Amino acid sequence: MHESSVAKEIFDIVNDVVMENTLVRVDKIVIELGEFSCIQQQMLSFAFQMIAEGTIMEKAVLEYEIVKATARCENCGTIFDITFTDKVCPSCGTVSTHFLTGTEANVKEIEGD
Amino acid sequence: MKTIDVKTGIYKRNDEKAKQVNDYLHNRNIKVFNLLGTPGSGKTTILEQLLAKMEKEKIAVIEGDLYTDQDAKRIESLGVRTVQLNTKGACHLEAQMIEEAVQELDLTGIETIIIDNIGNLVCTAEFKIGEDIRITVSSVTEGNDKPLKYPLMFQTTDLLVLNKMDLAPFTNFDKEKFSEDVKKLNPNCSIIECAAVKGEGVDQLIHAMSDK
Repeated sequence: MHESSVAKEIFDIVNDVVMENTLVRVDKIVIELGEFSCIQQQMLSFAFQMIAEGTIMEKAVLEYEIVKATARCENCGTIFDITFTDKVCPSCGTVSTHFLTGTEANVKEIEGD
Repeated sequence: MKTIDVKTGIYKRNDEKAKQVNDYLHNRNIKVFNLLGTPGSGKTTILEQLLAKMEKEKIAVIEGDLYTDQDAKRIESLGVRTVQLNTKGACHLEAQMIEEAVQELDLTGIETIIIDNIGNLVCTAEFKIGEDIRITVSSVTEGNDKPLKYPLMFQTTDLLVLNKMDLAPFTNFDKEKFSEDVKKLNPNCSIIECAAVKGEGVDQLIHAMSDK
């Protein structure tokens, strides 16, 4: 949730990069989202469009890379895919709470000029 | 056309602030609890019951609501140092707000801060606010399907209270299904059954809080 606050944070983060690199245009912003991040892509893109209108980011497209949720088994060390409701190690059957990936919400990179 | 690495967390600003708040309070040996749950689940009643049994002069409370200071008044009337935060529309608390609230508190002799968060199962789960432990309050009148519907809240909580057990006979709440679902989301999370208005289950909750 909070796609509009998230859009604002993304705008501010990218704006710093724009200033540091004296860009005149941003074409693409790549966002990494973990499966557990609970951010809705369409809403976020829409919210970002609203915020970026009239700025040098107004034509920037948000591209999403989804990061699968994984855990490392505390018993046998196997790294395996998990979901909200399935955290059972396929090798030894132990339920894991040691999450490796899945909660990411990052601005990974941008493309511009 | 240039590609520029950014590699910055979207929640970085809030997360850094949450860490600052947590460090500031840890340096003063203060433990912080974040009390979460849907509106009406019984968070503030549970808080009143906890305060009645704990050393009040060592606890401070930060109350979070959209509007009114009703909850702060309830807690203050117990003789506990309290700050009321009104977000006037924001549905969750953020670390910056907690920093401001902490600055208003006299922390002399305080060992525990309990943050009574906004009633909300969605947004409050997404923001770290400087807490050490999350306590989520669920109640039998909400239905037993909430864990799977709001997985982030139940996955990220450290303690889970199942409140209003006194009303369970009047509902169709399936306690076994509820426990099963919670176990899938959060295998190490224990469920503490309470009937807060009657003070039942509060001792177990205090015990669980001091174990964490």
